Amino acid sequence: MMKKNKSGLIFTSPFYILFLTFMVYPILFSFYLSFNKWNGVGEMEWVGLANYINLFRDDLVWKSMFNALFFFFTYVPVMLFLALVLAVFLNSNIKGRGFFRAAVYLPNITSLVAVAFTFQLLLDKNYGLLNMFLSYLGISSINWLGTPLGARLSIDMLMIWRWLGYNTIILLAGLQSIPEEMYEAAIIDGASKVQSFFRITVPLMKPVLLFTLVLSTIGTFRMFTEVFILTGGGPANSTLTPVVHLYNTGFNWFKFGYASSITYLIILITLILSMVQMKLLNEKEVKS
Amino acid sequence: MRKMTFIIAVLLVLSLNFTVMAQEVVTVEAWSIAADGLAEIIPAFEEETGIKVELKKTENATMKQNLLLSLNAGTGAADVVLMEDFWAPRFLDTGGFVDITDRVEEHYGKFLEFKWDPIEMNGKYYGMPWDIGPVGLFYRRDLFEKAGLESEPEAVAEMLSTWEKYYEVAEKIKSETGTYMLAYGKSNYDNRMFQNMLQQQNLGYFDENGDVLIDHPQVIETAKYINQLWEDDLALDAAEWTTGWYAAIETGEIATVVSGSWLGGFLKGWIAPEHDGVWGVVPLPAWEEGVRTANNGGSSLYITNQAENVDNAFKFIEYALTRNEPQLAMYESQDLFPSLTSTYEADLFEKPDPYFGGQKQRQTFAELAEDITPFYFTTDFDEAATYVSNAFEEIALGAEVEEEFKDAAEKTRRETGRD
Repeated sequence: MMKKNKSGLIFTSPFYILFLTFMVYPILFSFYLSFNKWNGVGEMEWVGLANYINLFRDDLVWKSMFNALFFFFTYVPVMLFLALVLAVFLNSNIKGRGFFRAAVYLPNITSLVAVAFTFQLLLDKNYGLLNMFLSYLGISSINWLGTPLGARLSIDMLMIWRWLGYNTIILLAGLQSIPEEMYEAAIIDGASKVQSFFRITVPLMKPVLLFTLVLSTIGTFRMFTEVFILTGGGPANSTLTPVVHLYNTGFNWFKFGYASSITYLIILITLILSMVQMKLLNEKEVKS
Repeated sequence: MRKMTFIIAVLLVLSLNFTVMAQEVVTVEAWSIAADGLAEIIPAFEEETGIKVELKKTENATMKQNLLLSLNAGTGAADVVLMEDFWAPRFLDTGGFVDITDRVEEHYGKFLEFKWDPIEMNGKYYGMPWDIGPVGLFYRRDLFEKAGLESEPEAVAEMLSTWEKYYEVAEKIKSETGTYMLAYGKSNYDNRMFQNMLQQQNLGYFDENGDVLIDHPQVIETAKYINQLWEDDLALDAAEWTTGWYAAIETGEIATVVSGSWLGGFLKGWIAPEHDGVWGVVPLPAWEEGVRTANNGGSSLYITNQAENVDNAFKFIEYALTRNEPQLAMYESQDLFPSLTSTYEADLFEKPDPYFGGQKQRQTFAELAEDITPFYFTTDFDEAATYVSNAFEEIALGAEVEEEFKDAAEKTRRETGRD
């Protein structure tokens, strides 16, 4: 028995070694770092809670948190609704189902840097394809990346484009676990397609929807590359996300201690939001 | 046992061999055109000294991160590294570089004085100056003619001798041709042109003691000048290095560009290669006080404290940067404008440039180079620049100039602990 355990441990040890080195150690180290002042190379200076106190007077931190919330409330509901509709569509017996399933997922595996640069070209105020298209519809050119609202909507568009397929696949997996008999029974009872979508599909999909919602929350608060390349956080910090601010603070301004304290704030807020979501959605389930 | 001894002996000999070989190799890391420039002069250096040079070309974006990581790890940095002036002070502050004050002393007077500022920290010197970007005003002869103005460099230099006159010409060109005078991005722009305008007046984001200058009355006045250009619709909203900016230059939507001497190479090379004879270069318009130029960009070479043989590393730097031929070779092929003043006597500077309608543009810049005054970056330049960019973005959206700059100054003081 003992011997059996030993070989099991040896075989699984590469995971634990990598996990300890690249996950646990950095997490603990950055926690320690958040109580220090450090430029990345020289000696650390213990400053106690000073970094955490500084968080409260740094308006960029709170602005970035507000931006993240803005993104969350604008793109996540739209994206999850579209993803559910798409998933239902892909779950039905349509022609070329395999092709559509692959196509809807493609944006997610495209290099994010290339995607962000392409969006930059598409959204250019004077030369972008999107404004050219809008001008045919009689809409005058919109300064997508140069105005706060335009830039925020641009990020929303990019997020939806990229993550729609990913969530669709997760929801599709959930749909396939709903027994066909339920729909058959509904048809016999005289329910329409729309009725069975809202009365059967949506309630039974609640756990899966909750899962995608929590993933999207975490994804929103750790959003980085999309913003970093498309808008750089501008204009006037309207698209600055917590992680972009954290990156600037650490890697551009060499304030690694302070950057670590921002990290822990992000973790704390994500944790609270996820817990609230789980609580809210579970309560509803109990009531119904 | 004997076998063991033999193996150890072989290993010892091998390791000895490696150390001997390592002493004769200098590793150098630089980015894009700088690496291409160095690659050209390395063969001659190797022949002269017998020291081998291993050159590593890195992308600009990853260079800073790699350098920080290798300084942090204490291993992996090249012996000689290139650092741009605006971020060098932050890196020197980490303590990862060799003090070469005694070695550079004899070369001190050979370079433009302003170039030494980012290299020096607490009275010690850590590198050797390389290239600069003397700032001039690039203008389109055809658009000036279309507006009924003179277009020869001498006349234009006189016509645009002050920023006040520049504004009048801007209005004239707009009303005669409908063209913008310049591009100044309202967002996603690092405000290099604003920095150049401050440097002209011996100002910046910091003074020579490292105190914050962002709310200095003249700095605010300069920002107001830019805001006025926006309000009167004389400046196109397009930030440098974006699609809109390239297109504006290529299609003639803007009549002038304030930029470093290196823009000439970019125009010829890929922004507007078909514009033969279209462009001219003149000194910047002047403010009430100060000079008609500034500096945009530029780097220097530094020795890291991971260099095994500082003597050899320094020999390479000395060869590449303190002699005329290598500096001129790198200038001619890669547009790396030297800060080594003796090079300005070379024939190359006398050559008329057909792309610039036969103007001796190199000489124009060489004359300007000697007037450049320092711009104090400090360790916190990047952070201050971010706050100033934020201020400009707020102003572009309608905020008050004075208020925004006072906020930016206050924020810089608070976050960096400066006066």
